[in-house]
Amino acid sequence: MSGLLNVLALIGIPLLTLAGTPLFTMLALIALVAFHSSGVNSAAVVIEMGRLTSSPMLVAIPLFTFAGFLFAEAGTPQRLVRLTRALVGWIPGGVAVVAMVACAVFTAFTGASGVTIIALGGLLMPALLRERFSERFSLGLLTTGGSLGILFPPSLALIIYSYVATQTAGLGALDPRQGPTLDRLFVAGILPGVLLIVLLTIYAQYRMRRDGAGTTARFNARELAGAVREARWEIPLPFLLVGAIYGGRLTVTEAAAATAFYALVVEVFLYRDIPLKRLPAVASEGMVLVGGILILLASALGLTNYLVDAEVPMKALAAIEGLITNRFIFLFALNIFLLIIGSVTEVFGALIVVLPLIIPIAQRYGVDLTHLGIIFLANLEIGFMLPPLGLNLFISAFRFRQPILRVYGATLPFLLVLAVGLLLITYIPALSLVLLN
Amino acid sequence: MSAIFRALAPAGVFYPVFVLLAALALGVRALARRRWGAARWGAGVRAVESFVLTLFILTMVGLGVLQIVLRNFFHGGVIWIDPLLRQLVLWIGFTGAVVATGRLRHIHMDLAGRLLPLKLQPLLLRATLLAAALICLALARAAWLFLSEECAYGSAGFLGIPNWVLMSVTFLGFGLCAVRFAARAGAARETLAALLLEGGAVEGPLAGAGDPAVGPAGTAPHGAEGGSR
Repeated sequence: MSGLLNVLALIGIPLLTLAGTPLFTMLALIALVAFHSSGVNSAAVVIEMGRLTSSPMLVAIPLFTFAGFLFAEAGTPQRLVRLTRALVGWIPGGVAVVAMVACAVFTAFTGASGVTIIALGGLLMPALLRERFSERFSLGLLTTGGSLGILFPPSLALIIYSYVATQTAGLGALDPRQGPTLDRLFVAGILPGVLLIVLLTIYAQYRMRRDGAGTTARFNARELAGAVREARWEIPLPFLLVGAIYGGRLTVTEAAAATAFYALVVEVFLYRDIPLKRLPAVASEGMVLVGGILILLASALGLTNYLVDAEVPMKALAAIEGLITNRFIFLFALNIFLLIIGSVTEVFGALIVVLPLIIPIAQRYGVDLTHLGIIFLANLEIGFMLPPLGLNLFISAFRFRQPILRVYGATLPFLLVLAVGLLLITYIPALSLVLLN
Repeated sequence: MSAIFRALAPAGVFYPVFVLLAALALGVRALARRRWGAARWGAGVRAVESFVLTLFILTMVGLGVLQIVLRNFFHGGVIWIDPLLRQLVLWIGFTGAVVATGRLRHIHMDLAGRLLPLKLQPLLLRATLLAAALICLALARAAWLFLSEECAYGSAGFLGIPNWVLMSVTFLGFGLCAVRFAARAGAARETLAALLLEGGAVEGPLAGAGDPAVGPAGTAPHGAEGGSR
């Protein structure tokens, strides 16, 4: 009987997953079947899910998401674009940098890069066209720009990576000064993230010459002063955050509460961008995302103990050890694997489902787990825009009302540039780790 | 309260209790839809969902800030704030998941959404929703077993609240998810299509290659209502 059940599960689960059944039910189903066939009461699955309440780190997820959705709904995108334009818009090609920086900051705060394309696309597209960048270039830039920022604090993806990695690797096994803790990951992502932006800036400069684009804006101190005045409540936040966390006054969790509180006061009461009446709609929109993430995390927790007991990662390792003989081949295989995963799932789904299997293998090949986090996220973010299925391509096609094939073409050169960055990030661990030492 | 649950708790009682609760929920829904119409009922449910989620998150923000103030300026926090915040993660997670179920917004592999034309999607969707409903039913049962054991032998959590009360959201959450998945699996075609669009479905490359105007104007893809204005 239980043999039949296993066969059914073995065929049914992949099929259902591909058909689009919610991932959390798939993980839960695996856990239920696994516990059933080893004769354990299914209540054990729920006991494991209860571990959701054991980590203070998870408290940061709803709080940062709430702040992000408040910023997205308020006039923050407009103020952010105006400010960066006043700062660097007068440099030839500067408006491309404006677009990337605005997208990066925004994605760092809202987590889901699709939101960035929607929220900023309408503002940035006309700005790029006005500086005579071609429509094709602008489309590609805004499609890829949406996912820059996943590497910058306080990105939700970094929080989830840190949580899953420390859970999987075993808290006791890691030296907190070496392990993938959140404050280390927040620092590790900065240089790789800046590298990707710099590479894209170089490409933008090249295209600017070819398109004959330039700048119509001049540096204008009054405009800058006006932009600063307009954004005066929002500018202090990043500095306060960084200072409080690294000055040791606040834990990351407390910083999340402070950010959410700050965002609430500033957007609802000072700017009054969000009327109180709208607040429940905005908050619930964010919490739906949080619910989707947390229930998936809960289901994964229901499964991890079984995976460890059944030595699944060890078996996977044994299976690939013959093929993958050293760290470089491992990293390369990981690159390919994650790009594909990233193009068919959301980043959170990929992290929660795949990471527990990869961690033990990565440890075996001596990959630093903090570095692994940056590799993971950089790959997944680029997977987002990988044709034919990357999610951002579809959101961009939808937002800018372009045929999807045109979006593929426009994105391709940007993907090539980012691929160079990806290789650098993967094979030069120092990029991620140097700021930590 | 505890006594009532302890009397009900034996594992064998799960199915009768679940069927009773599900019938009650679906009955109220059917009556309300007949009385006020489906649109107003839907709007009402949405308002309640949003209110509950907002209450949770504002509580978390408030408690978090209170703890910072107490810790930094009065040298000592309140001991139950941290466990309560962590407990709220579980509650907000399960509540959010129930709402995500109603709005078809769970994280999934979206191959169908990107490869199949919009017209074909509801059919496949019904099958996956039904599967999800059955799995959630099994999970609700697992949660019930867990709660009944906790109720009989379990310990108290912070502030002396019994652990089974703190964890009861697992049963409520999975139970409601099962009912809602089942209800969505049987929903009208138009309802499903509207939810898909709101959740970010766009015509796949095979269907929409030549047509720049994908999706009706004014619908924001991928949960971006909060982002577009």
